[in-house]
This record gives sequence, structure tokens and C-alpha cells, in this order.
Amino acid sequence: MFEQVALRLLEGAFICESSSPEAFRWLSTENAQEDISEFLDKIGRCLAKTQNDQAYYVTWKRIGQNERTEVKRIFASIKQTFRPLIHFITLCMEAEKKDISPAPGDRLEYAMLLKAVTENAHLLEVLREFGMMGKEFTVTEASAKGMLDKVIQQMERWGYLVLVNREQESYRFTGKLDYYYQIIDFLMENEGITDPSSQEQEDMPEQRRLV
Amino acid sequence: MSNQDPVAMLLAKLAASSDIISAAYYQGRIHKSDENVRGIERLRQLRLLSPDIRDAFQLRASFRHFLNAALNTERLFSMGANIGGYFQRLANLVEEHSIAFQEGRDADCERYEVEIREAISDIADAIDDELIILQAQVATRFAAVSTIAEKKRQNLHYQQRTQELVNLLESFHFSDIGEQLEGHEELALSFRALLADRIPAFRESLLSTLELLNQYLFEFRKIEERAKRVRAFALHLNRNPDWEPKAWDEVADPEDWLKCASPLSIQSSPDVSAPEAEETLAAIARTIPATAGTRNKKTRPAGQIEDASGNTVVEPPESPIRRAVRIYFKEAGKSVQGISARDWWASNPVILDGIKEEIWLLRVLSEHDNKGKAGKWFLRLEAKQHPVFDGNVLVKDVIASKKAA
Repeated sequence: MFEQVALRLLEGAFICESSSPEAFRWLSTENAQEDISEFLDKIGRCLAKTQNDQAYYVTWKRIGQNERTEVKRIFASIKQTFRPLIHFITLCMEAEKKDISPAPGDRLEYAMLLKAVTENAHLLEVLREFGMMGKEFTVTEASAKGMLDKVIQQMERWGYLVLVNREQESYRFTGKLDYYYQIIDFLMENEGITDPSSQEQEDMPEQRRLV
Repeated sequence: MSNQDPVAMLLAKLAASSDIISAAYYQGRIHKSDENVRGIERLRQLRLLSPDIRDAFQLRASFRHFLNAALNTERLFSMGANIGGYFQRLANLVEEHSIAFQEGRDADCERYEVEIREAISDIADAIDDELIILQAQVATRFAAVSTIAEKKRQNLHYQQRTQELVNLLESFHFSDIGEQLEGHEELALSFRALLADRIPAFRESLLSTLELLNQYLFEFRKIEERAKRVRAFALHLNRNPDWEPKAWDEVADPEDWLKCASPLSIQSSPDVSAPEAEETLAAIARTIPATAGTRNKKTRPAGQIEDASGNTVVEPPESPIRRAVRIYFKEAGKSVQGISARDWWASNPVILDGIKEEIWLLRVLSEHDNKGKAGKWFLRLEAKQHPVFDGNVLVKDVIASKKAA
């Protein structure tokens, strides 16, 4: 298992319960983490995990001139990703009529999503908006299915979804989603992005008094 | 069992009205009609139906609870059995039995013993049922409700109920019911086997359920918080389409999520000669479907090259124009005065076999361009300047002659 996990990590994979359950369970043991960390340490890398321990990945041990270039590339890629991804998460929440944002391990039924976007004009519009978010989402056929397929395909390619049942077209959110939530948390805390709903709640007594 | 057995009679009557009971259970109420009026009245007489509004009837609560427990039906904010009441009843019965025993009232003692045994079973069954309900709720994470706020309220309700039950079992543990029953072997045995010995296991299950419920509440709060943050971030992006995060990649010590090491392109290939790989390779081979389109490729057996094949080289025939050019330059190469190409064309129509004059002249010029340096002839053009296009000449004839030595 060591070789399998080490290779996958070095290839840049996020190891989580959804994408590679056996590897994830093995890596969750203390001994395995020690072995892998020791190996990575020798090649200037570290084993890292997401904020809720949902996925493991590899980071640089030190940031020198060469690694700095890579950090910039990662940040550029994150900036390119976060708008479509948050758009997709919102789409899933609205389609499932849930007030719960998807978590790693949650199932996503393609048929349900397709039905929702086909029957609901608002959701179809939300889906259409992906077309403005980069060439990755440009489709040759602007049907609901064509657009949704493209989005799902891209989410799978970015590593946020994994196909668990081809016949039922059933997907699962991966542990990488926890990595994404970690980024959102960081940006919200450090960029002064506030939750307007809590602000509105604070304002309500004052508004009521004025009314 | 005779026909006079009241339990059998009751069950027979219930069976006769099973469709009414089922409809009332699943629909919540049943309306009186000409078809079901007799059945409804029979069930009312048995006190299994209660009047509802607008000429409708509903199942009596005790009967509905029985069906809920029997069918393990999920109820929102399920009330559960009054286990505290059962405990109190047991304590009262044991007390009364003790008094009857001391006063020598044997018949009353016997009646109390039957009641005590039933009360012990009631408690054990009620705790068992309670655990089943709680475990079902916990396992499905309150799947009957969809919003996180509802789940939280359900969670709190069951958390409170479980805690009350745990407290009840703990207080029961310190009661003296066991000691009071010690003089009565049968009752003491029932009490120990059905209840006292099972209490620690019940308590453990309830405590682990309680722990899970506490954990869920914590998780629900986290999930709720995360959903709020996702919505807030989405709203922020919508309201600020040009928003870009600060240059977090330029800080001295970037966050871990920015330090993802660049992926290495690693290619591994199996060692097919290694015996330990055989099983894996065989498993892979078994997954390859056998398709009708696959055919074995048959190769021709290798042949041998024979030294003397006996084949003769067949050369293509010379074209008429090539032959004419060859003859013309051969003759011209011997002529000191030279031979005009146009004259030669006019005088050798058979050799030229209908080739046009301008083609012939172009071919002669082309032959001279290609082989003139090595050839045995000298070529002279009869030409004049073009009147309009500077640098161009009009070739009237070509004369080839023997090259000077």
C-alpha cells in the first residue's frame, strides 16, 4: 500500500474516502503517516491534510525560488476555479432543495440534477451562466443535457467529483471539496467578506424600531 | 384454543376490519360510508376508533402506538413510552405485594406477582423499543426531515429523551426493588433476568446513542455554518464580478493550500516476468471482454530469398519525344554548322509522332538545361528582345551544333 499511496500523492492526487477508500483508510493510521512523511521529507515534501481531515495531499517543505513559481501557478489555478465551483455547489443545493452545502462523500445523482435543470427555468439559467466562466464550459450543443454534461465533466476533471456508479450515473463529492472550503474560509476571514444574513439579523431590531 | 378465548375473538374481529384499520392508520382518518359503516361501528365498540371531525374516525391513540411500535414507523418528535411511569408502577406493585405478603393475603399476593412480572416485561420491552427508535433516527440522521434547522430540533428532542432515560436507569439502579423481591424466587429471577442484568447494556447503548446525538448536533451546527459561508461567498462573487483575492501567493510563508507540490509524472510498468505479478495480470486479463470482432492474426510463414530468381528486368518502352530528343542531339553533336530544331521537327514527322512544334522546342531547351553541360553539343538561340516586356526574349529557333574541342 505504501508504494501505491506514495505514487498517487507524488502525482498530485488528493487521497480521500470517496476516490480511494482503501488508501485513505491506510493513510489515516499513525504508522502509515509516519512512513509516508519520512519518505516525502527526503524529497523536500510534506504530507498535508485538509481542515476536516477529509483528504491528504503533498505540499512543499520549503518555499524557494522554484517553488514560488509553482505557488503562483497554484494560486492562478485556484482563482480560475473558485467561481465555477461555487456556482456548481449553489446549483446542487438549489436542485436538491437543501439548505446544506455538499460535503465530501455526499452522493450526487445525475438524473436528479438533469431533471431539476430541465424543469426549472431558473436552474437552467444558472447552468447557462457557466458558459461565461471560461472556455472549459463552452459547449457545442446548448441543451440542458449538453451543458450539464460539460459541467459535470469539468468538476470530475478538477477532482471534486468521482463517478461511483456508471449505470446509475451516480457521483460522489471528493475530499478535495474540503480543501476548497478551506480556501473559502481563509478568503472570507482575510478578505473581510462577511455573511450578509448575519448582518441582516443584527440590523433587524433597529429596522423594526424605525418601522 | 376455544372460540370463547377473548384474545382470539378480538383478533378475529380485527382481521375482519383490517382494511378499515389499515386505511385509518395510513390516511390518518377514515370517513363513514355505506360500505364500511358496520366495520366502523364494530371497531368503535371495541374502543379502537375515536370520532374525528366531519363524520370521520381515527385510530385510538393506544392502538396507533401499538401499530407504530409493531411496524417500526418513524414519527417526528416521537413521544416514546412513559418508562418513568412504568418504573413507578413496578415500585408500587412491589410495595403492595410486600404488604399483602406480610398480611398473609395469598390470593392478592398471587395477583400482584402476575402484575409484577408483566410490569418487568413492560419496562424491558419499552426500553428495547425506545432503543430501536433512537437507533433508527440516529442511523438515518433524521432523514424524515430535510432542512438543517428541523434536523437540529429533532436531534435536540431525542437528545433530551435519551438523557432522561439514562437518568432514569441510573436512579433505578440505586432503588431497592431487587432487595424487596429477594424472598420470592420466581419474581427475583424474572426481575434479574429480564431487567436488572440488562440495565448496564441498555445504559451503554443509550450513552453511545447520546454521544452520537451530541456529535451530530455539533456537526449540524458546522454544516449549517458551512452552508451559510458558501452562500455568503457566492453572494459576494455575484455582487462583485470583478473581485480578485489579494496576492496571497506572494506572502513570505504561503498557506498550506497554496503549497501543493507540483505533480510528478510517474509511469510504472509491471514486471511481467515477476511471479508475484502473475495473479494480478491474470485478473486484468480476465476483465478483458471476449469480442466477436477479435481475430487471431495469421502471419505468412517466412520465405527464402533465392540467389537466382530467373526474373528478367523489364524496361518500359522509350517515349517518342524522348527518342526524338535523343536522336536530334546525337545528330546535332556531329554537325559543325548546327541543326535547326524547327527544321529537324519539320523534316522528321514520323519520329516526332504528332508532337506539336512549341512542345518540341520547349523539350529541346529543357534537355539542354538538364544535360547541356555534360553534352557534346553547343546550343545557340535565335531570339530577339520582346518589344514590351523588358528582359524577355522571343525565341524563334534553336540551333544545336557540335561542341568545339
